[in-house]
Amino acid sequence: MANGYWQKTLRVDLTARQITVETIDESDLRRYLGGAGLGAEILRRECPAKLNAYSPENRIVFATGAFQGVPMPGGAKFSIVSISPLSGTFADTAAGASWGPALKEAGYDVLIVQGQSRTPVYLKIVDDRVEIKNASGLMGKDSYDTVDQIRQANEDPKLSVACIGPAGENLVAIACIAVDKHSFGGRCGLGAVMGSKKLKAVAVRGTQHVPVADPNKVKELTKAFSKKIHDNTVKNDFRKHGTPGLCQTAEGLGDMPIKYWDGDVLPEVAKALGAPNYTDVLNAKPLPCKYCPVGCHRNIEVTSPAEFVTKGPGPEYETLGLMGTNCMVGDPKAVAKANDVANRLGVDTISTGAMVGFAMQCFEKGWLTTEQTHGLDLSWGNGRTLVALTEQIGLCQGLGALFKNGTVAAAEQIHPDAPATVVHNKRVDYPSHDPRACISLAPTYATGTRGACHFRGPCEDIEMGGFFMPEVGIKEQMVRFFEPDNQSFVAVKCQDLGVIANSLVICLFMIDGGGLSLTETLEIFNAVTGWNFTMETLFETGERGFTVQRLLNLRDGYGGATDVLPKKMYQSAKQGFRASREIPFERLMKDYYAIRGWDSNGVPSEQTLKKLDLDLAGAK
Amino acid sequence: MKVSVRLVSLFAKYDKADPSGWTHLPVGNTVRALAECLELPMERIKIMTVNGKQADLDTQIREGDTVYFFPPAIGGG
Repeated sequence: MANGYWQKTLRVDLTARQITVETIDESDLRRYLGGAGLGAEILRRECPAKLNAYSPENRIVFATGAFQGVPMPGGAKFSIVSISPLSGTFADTAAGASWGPALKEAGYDVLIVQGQSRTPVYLKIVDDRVEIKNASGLMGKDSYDTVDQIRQANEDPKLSVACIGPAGENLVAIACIAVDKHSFGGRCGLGAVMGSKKLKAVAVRGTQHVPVADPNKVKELTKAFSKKIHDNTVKNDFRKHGTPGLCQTAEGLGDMPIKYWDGDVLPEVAKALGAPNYTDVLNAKPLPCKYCPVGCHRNIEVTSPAEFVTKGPGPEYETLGLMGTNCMVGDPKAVAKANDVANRLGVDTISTGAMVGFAMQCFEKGWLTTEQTHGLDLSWGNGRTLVALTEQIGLCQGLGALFKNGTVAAAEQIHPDAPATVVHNKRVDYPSHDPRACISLAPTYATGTRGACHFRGPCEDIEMGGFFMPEVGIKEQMVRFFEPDNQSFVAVKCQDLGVIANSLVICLFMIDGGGLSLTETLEIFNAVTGWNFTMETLFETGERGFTVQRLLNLRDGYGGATDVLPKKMYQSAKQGFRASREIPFERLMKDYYAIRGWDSNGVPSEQTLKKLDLDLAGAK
Repeated sequence: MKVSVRLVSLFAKYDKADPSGWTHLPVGNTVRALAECLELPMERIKIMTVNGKQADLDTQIREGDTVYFFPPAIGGG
């Protein structure tokens, strides 16, 4: 058996109500590491092209990697992979809390769920006792009550629970998967895939420890890295203020979405939403995942006004961007309440914020009337409306029902001119970083295998001085704002890093923010597995995983013609840091395709596939 | 020399502007001299602009310029 892995997949077929355990080839682990890379390869082998996400044939893959078996800082993460109902192609999303290590401790690396149950069920996995249990009593429960009830019903408070809220049950295409009332696999609507299978939750606990190659070294390194990351994030205030610390820098550099991507500057709102104001107003404290020395998630408490009272995980930078500046809502308490409503109902806070901002834009343009909004006042900056529409989207009621299948689908129903104003890639709403500010994001978003994503390639943090990767040629000052040189190289390396991180699996904040180097990450990976990977081998696995995801995109109908930017990205700012600047998109994409070894249609060349030991076989 | 300095987010505590909003730089004429005068943590200064254009520590500044210092972007997720 390979060290760091059980080499075991637990497969549950909900149609046949069949549970099996399969062996994972070591070669697959060496080629993909686990997580999002291996998950993509599983989809390529098992799902036909252009599969409806809600088909019983779709798989939802919960995948760990080598880091979930050790007390690795940032190792609480795991990846969830499936065909997305939003994009109709590959998607992965990651969450933390303690679910990933729990699956590993139960004796599995991967859980694949397929088929479709006739009645609502949840899975309970405790070591080799795997049960498909009745979830009828849980239907309609929010994502927090679901966790509590499953733990109570099983008299097992240590169960780690990944579940959906009402949004997932109602097949809202931006439904998330909530973990332990703490962390959320938000993007791409994979909660709705669980809903389509009538799978309310997966509850896991285990008692086993996977063998590692060099236990003493692993112990020594996890301890040392944990201390290093802790000390670094105390020093740079990341621990104290979390991701809200980014707001004012991002806004000042034109990187935050404002007024659904039509605004240029909004400093007072960014100041109100960002640290240190956020920390003070919301009484925020770090909320760490298992083994995490940072605690970037925020535990907040709002005691007044009554309409915004909330307690629990607070909004993160991305949510502050999409629900805050994007909607011009400058009250952190209103954003905190909307965040809480979204988390409990089980919708992605990024896409929800995008939808509310888009609706506000349509209201301003007269494309939505008060009659159509069922009386909601969709004026910019209205915090009450933000909360109310978030609830309607999560419950698929009122105006929210219009958004059931995503922002693009809603736009198509609202007005003939509305779809061209949606800011998305592959129907996945843009996150809270603007490619007009950090232009390496332009090829990153255009080719994003799960749609627009800043965190499957955190290149914006390199442009904004947050972290570097000298081991793979990403050095300080190698890119400058608005200048195309080296930007596509940064984009490619960051995308590959994104796949590596989500395959190992490790939280990127250990590297980006925590100061863990790639060399150190590789050192502990080798101590766990005993494989003696080089940095080159590690990045080759990232490139291979990314390419398999791209091959899935291609067979599902995406490619060069969809490697584009939305219309609004061609609007120049009139003021602020990016005033009058334009994205040199053609140049960036030309460089990007050349570095990737793709032809002019965005298809990996034979030579590229050969280098990665890939072919199109396996694509049904 | 007096310049207009904008310090956002976690750099705000280093503000030394007078009541009319000007920051006085007694010695030197570079961004570095200004950062030292403000006692900013040098290792954390990654992004700075002078009059809206990206600058570095050696960029020269003149009377009346507007200088921004941004903490590095971490936690973009």
